[in-house]
Amino acid sequence: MTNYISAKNLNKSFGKFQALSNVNVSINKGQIVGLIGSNGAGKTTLINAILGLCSYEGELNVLGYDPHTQRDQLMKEVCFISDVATLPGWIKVREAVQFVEGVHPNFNREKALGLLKQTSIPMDKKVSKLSKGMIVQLHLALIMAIDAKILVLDEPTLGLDIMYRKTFYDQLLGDYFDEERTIIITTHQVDEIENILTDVIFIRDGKIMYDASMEETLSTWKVLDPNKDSIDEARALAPYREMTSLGRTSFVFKGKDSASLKEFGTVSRLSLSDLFVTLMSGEQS
Amino acid sequence: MFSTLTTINGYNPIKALFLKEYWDNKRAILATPMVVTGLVIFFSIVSLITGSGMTIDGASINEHLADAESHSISSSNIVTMLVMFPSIILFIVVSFSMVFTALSSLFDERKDKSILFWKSMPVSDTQEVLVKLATVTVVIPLIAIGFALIIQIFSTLILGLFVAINTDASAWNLVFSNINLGAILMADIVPLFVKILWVLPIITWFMLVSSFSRRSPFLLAFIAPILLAVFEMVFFRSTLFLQIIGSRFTSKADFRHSFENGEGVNLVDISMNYLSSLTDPSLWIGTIIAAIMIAGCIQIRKRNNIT
Repeated sequence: MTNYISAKNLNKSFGKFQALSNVNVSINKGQIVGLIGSNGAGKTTLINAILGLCSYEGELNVLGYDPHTQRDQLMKEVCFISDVATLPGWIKVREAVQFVEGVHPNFNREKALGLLKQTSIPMDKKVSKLSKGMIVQLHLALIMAIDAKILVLDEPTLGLDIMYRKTFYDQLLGDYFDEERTIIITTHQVDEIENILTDVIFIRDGKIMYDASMEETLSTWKVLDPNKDSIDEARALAPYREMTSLGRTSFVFKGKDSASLKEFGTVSRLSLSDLFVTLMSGEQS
Repeated sequence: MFSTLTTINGYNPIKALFLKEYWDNKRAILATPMVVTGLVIFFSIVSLITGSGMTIDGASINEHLADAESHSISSSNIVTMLVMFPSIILFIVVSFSMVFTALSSLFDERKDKSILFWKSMPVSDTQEVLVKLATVTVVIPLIAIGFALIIQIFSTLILGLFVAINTDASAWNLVFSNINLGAILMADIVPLFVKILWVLPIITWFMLVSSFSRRSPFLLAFIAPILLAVFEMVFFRSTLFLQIIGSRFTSKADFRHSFENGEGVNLVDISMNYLSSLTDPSLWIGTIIAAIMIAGCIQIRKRNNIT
């Protein structure tokens, strides 16, 4: 597997605040990685370091570049959409397309115009006159027309309505992703991306709390909804965590065989959001 | 021609960066000088029609022309002065455009967060900052010169009409034959760019402030030097700082001098005077300071994300 991003003992502090502490991450070609954490956990700092937008201590290699000193080189092969709407209000749609064509050697204008044609975005309007959804669509059309190796999406669907979120990810998977590319996504809406991820990273207080492939995650973590009369037996199997919701008790198991759990009730996969809560609350208590 | 200048076909990062500045600052670069030019021409025509006569330096055009004849000094200088005069207002307005463009150059992109979009593109901070500097110090002045030429050509025509209507003199002899377009072009270009070189440390100071200012770069850009000057006056009882700033503006050649002698202006002399100021070491010390400030802008932009 070709390594695209490798961070070793990455540290970053703002004054006394340690935003990243000893982060070790390795991301390879062809992965779709979900970077998940609460606000202020260090997601954006880690992403900014990878994109060369901030300085850091430690070792960081992205596609063979040192991001902070070689950002302009790196950006030929890395695209990103940050969590805040960043297209300037004064630019017209047509001008935005022209600008990216002018500064990006790997930009395909026909592809961008084709993607824009599928939307209702008028070419002559200024960005400030577009709706929030249209701005994201425009940004995505520009980015998807760039032949890049890494795409970083920081909270890409923030503020979008539910209809558009779905098409956003469908388009990303259908029209953009292939084995040669790597996508990194951060989001609060864990549920809407968990089906497309190949790998997941949890981050808290600047530390990597969990880093595994989805395959491994699914085979390791399971939820057991026990039959009424076998709750105590299930509890005796030393579950990782006990969850109670709406009066129903369920257990989270780590590394247990499905077959051995099945006799006590229904076994299902643990959703990423439940895994997140399980791991984070477990640490805290 | 204009459309080939303002469209992009394929990879051409420097052109794209300049176009981006043009789109962003269309008002300062194009609309402002266009409106001023329109107004100047409009009022020239109005004063021609109303016949009230344009007065320059307290005397009507008639008097100036009579003056020229009676003193038998070069009427070319007087006519040139009359033709150049209306375009001065354009250059004054454009200098304000330059100040405001410099002050917003590295601030607005942080305020509207578009810096993150620009930084997602493979262009270096050095390229971005240098293009912004060139926009303020080259693009804006060059376009202003284009409009100044339009005003000057119009002024010539109007002056010729004025002479033809109001005097017995021949418009050709008195006005058109006295116009040296080459000298006018030279006088539009040389003094302006020499002057920009003199005030370069001030322009780059504005850019530097806009690169780190959190709120209003405008206030900071003016308050900091004022405080420094007051500090110097109170504690050292001197005005060295103000003198240094002032010396960047009091240029080596001035229209006023010629006005007072009633000689009109000799454009070639003025341009030569400006050129000779290039040998002044203080000019180049200022340019080095400007270069340091630009290096500062680049370093700060490298670290900047959003405000």
